Amino acid sequence: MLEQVKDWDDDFYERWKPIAMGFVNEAERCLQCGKCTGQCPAAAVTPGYNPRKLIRDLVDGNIKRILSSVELWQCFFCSGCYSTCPMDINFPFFIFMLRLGAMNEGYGWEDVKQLEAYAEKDYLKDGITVSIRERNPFVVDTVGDIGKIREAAGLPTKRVVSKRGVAEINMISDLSGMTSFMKKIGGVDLLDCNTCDDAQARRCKTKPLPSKVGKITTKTRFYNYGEPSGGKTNAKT
Amino acid sequence: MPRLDKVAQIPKPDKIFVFKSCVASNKYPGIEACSSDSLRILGIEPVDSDEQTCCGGFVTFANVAAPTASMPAVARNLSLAEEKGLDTCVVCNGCWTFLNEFGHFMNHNAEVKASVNMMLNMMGKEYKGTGSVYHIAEMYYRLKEELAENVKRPLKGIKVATHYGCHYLGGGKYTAIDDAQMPSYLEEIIEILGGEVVPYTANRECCGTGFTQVINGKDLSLEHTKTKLDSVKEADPDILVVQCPYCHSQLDRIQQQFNYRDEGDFQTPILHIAQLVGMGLGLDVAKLGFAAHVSGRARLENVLDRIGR
Repeated sequence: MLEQVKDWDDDFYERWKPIAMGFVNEAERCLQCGKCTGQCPAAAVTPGYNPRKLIRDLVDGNIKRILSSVELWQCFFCSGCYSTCPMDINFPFFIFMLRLGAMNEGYGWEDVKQLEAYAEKDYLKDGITVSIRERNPFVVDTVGDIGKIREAAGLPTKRVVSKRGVAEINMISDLSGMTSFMKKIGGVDLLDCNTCDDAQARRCKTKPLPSKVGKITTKTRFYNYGEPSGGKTNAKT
Repeated sequence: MPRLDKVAQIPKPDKIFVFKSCVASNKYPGIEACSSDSLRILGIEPVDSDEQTCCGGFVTFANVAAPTASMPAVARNLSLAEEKGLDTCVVCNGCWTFLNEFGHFMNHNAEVKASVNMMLNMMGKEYKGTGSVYHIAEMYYRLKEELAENVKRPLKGIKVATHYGCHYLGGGKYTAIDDAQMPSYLEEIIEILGGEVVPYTANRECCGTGFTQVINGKDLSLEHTKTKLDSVKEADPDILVVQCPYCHSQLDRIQQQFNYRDEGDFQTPILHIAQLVGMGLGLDVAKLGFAAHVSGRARLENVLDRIGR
């Protein structure tokens, strides 16, 4: 269905609701009050990001803009918009389902590729998504052996998920289509502080602080999200 | 003000299934050790299972796995507690929202539940939807009388600031025990432990992890964390207490990066609520796992000197 998306699509929202698994069914109730944008941490650091506009364009059918926008990938998933929303719209679920829709259209794969290794090399291999390897890109010095700290705290040296547990989540992954989806994503090797070379380490530690609001550049591979230029009158029929 | 009717609904069981969090196990083992030990002191026997995997929330919302893959993973983890006839206690906001939301979704969608059970039946399991999921901070608040009786190491004169984390109050708008905008139960727990609560401006702000933004949108994430840490530094608490290991990891580790860049001197120790309660209940210092903390270690030692080791 998403393959036939045009720039403007009057029925898109109505047709999309059922395939969004019941998570998304209340966007048409939006009052456009903007409370979501007012408290949004992503909007605070990104001038272009605006949850209110995203909802408006979803309901109006300006769908191509949403799916191809960089803003779709800037959500912090903090659920703050849901907590303040007077109409109880669960916006993070919109973002989640729209990201899947955008991937179907070929957008956002670079972002998801960075994350595939967490599923393939940690979640499905050990049953634990966050491993002991240091993957936070901003850590300068690590604390050393976590195993020793665990022992001192009276825990086993390594938390191990039983073989049966790991086998079961792999079975779930195969049966539900997650494995084949991950193969499609491909994935990239994650940098971690034990394996990265000197050049990477230097770049990691000397990376300048982000520029303040106003200097942030929009990634070129996406459209710039903004006011729609056309409207129903300009839509292709 | 906490919703007292909701709090009263939380049971005081003899045993509870403790759901292990991946960040708590692999980055801050003190959280894992303290959560079990503090529950034991408060009269609840923790039960765990090595079949329990990660909740799968990260891979789902990172769009690596579709919800079709996550529903059965959630059901499988919840069925481990159901087999034993227990409720689940989690230490992480992410696990809490994910297990709660997706469990709720399955309980109210018979078709989804049936298809999930079809998959689980192949491995000899079944999801019934009988158990509840509670956050450990909720349990502490429910057990506040027991907590007050058992304080061995009062946090006298220690200034503590709070950070609730988005996925508990925001994501669980109707299931959390407190209001999403003006929560106060962590403050109450701190006062029971004898500490002094310090308010600061950016209390309700996100820690800046931004779920996957710490990997994909590093600059946005860092800028937001700076806002948060600047505000914390202004209030200058001895300890910043969080209730989510992921916020813990972000706020703790990023301070080091700002110090490295000469963007200010950040030395605020971050503690999970389980560690703070463990400290108050007089657990052995090694059990608190402070060796795994990246920032503010000197200040933590100073706190321990003041309240006794």
